[in-house]
Amino acid sequence: MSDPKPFVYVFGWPSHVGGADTKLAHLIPLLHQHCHLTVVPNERRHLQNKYWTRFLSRYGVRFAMLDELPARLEGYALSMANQCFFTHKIAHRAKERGLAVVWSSEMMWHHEGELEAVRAGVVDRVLYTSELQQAALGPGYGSIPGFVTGNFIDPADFPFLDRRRPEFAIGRLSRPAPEKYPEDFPVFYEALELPETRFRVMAWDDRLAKKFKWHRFDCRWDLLKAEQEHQVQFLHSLDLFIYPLGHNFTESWGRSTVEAMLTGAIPLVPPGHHLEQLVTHGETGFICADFMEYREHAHRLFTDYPLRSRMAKACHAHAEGRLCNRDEHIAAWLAAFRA
Amino acid sequence: MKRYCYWSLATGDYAKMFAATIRSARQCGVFKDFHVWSDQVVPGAICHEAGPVERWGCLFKLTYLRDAVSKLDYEYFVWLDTDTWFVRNPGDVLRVLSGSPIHLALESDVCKPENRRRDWWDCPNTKFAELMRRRGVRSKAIFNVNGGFFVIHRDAVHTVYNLAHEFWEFCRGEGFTFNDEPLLAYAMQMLCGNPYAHTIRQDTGLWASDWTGCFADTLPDGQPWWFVDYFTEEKLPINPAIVHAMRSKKALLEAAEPAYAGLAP
Repeated sequence: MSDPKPFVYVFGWPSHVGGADTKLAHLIPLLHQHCHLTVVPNERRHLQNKYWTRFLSRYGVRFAMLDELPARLEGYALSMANQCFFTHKIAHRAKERGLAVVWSSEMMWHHEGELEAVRAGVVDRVLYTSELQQAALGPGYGSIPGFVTGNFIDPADFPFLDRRRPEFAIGRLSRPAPEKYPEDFPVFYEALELPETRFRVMAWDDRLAKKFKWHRFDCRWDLLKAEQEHQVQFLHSLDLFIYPLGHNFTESWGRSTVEAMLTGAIPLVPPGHHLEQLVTHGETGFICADFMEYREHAHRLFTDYPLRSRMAKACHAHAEGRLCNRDEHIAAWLAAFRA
Repeated sequence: MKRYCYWSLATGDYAKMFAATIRSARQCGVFKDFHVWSDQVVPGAICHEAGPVERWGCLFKLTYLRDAVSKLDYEYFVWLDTDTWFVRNPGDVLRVLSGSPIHLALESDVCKPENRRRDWWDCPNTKFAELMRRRGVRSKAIFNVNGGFFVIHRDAVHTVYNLAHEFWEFCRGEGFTFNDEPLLAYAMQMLCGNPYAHTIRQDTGLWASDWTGCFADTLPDGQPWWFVDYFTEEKLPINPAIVHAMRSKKALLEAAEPAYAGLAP
């Protein structure tokens, strides 16, 4: 009788920074009891990183370079938004060894070399974070079987904090990509006119500073570099997670929004992204289609502490029980491997 | 670095009108620098050689802003159409920015059901709103502007230019080749944070365009007048310090004559 657990070779490396690598860091604890996992980094230097090798060992996950693995393999080669997977022909080599290639773009666009690999028959299955992403990318994949596996976040990593403190704070957390920020970002925050409020942003970098060099950031602003604070500490410092997005960017899922919700930071987000599926308007945050809606809801949450407290708890409960439901995520992943 | 200057591009009779603009400003106690790109000396202005100017659609405002004006040593640049008249000192014009790197007076909501005019620059209102939203404008109200007056932070010049250019290209692909005003309306609403803080109704004391000709063939006199909403035709009492006297060109040319007194022909 064959082993019912699928053998999954994950091409990438976990991290606390970046959507796909962070996703992998949460996926390993989720799937390690249900799959035989082996992590295959792009570069050998990762294998010297004791923090992550210990992390993998703790869950019984093997790690090795592709060349160190047997010439013939059985199972799946999974990769998520790993640019090198196609450009460096890693996917092709994995397939030559007998693995079925499972690819997840994670973004709203196709990566370099991806569609060429699809046309060459290298990719056997595709994964989507959301139906929105599936609608955008599906046509490029043709008849390749596709599965929506979402995005799992371990709620234990983002504990809830009951906030009641003299200083109110709004902010956002995302990778420092200029396209994720609307053109008017700093003036948008300031124009909300929330009294005595701090504006906190992580991760900030030189590209963002250049994009917004016309703005004079005063003492209300904390512009933090990536990982300058621990993610949880940063999210605990926010009352509201206000997340307007750039006009050339579509959020395929919204990991940082769910992380914020788990901690009790209330999201105010724009329509037109998967965020609409994560936030129940009026119950676990607000979908705001106009500046005045952001302003109205932010002011209401600022002045009405019982509402804020109630909604923060609802955010956590919804994120933990519904969006990050462990059993549902495991079932979705196993369905993708077993179909 | 000085805080701001006024600037324009003016050749031929428009240069003479701008001399009148400057003269009216000086008479009101405005002593800011006025820069002009021109084919002639404009009394009262700091003059720069204009060179050949492509006049179609007034897009030169954007190209001169990027290629010439942005090199001047001021924090903000205030564009004035040449048919402008100061009726009193406007004070600090930067007050209208409200933290934004750009200001144009947002005039009318093209989405209002009570609008009587159904198009702007040959683009149906509903289509214009759709184009703006598809390119990222996120307010329910979509405003038109008059391009006769705008303020831009020096560090936002390239952003404004790029936004305007991208919108021009996008709309051209949709069958609409726009002049400066829809492009400036787009850049403004992408950059200003809260558009409702920049409507002409929020500040009736700084600048407005007399497009209906309240002062036709005469000069604004500092008395209140009726600004007419371009789309609803609603009348708004107004008394701005700076009037875009677009129906007063002849009067402006006459008002310019004293500025040339004593200049060699």
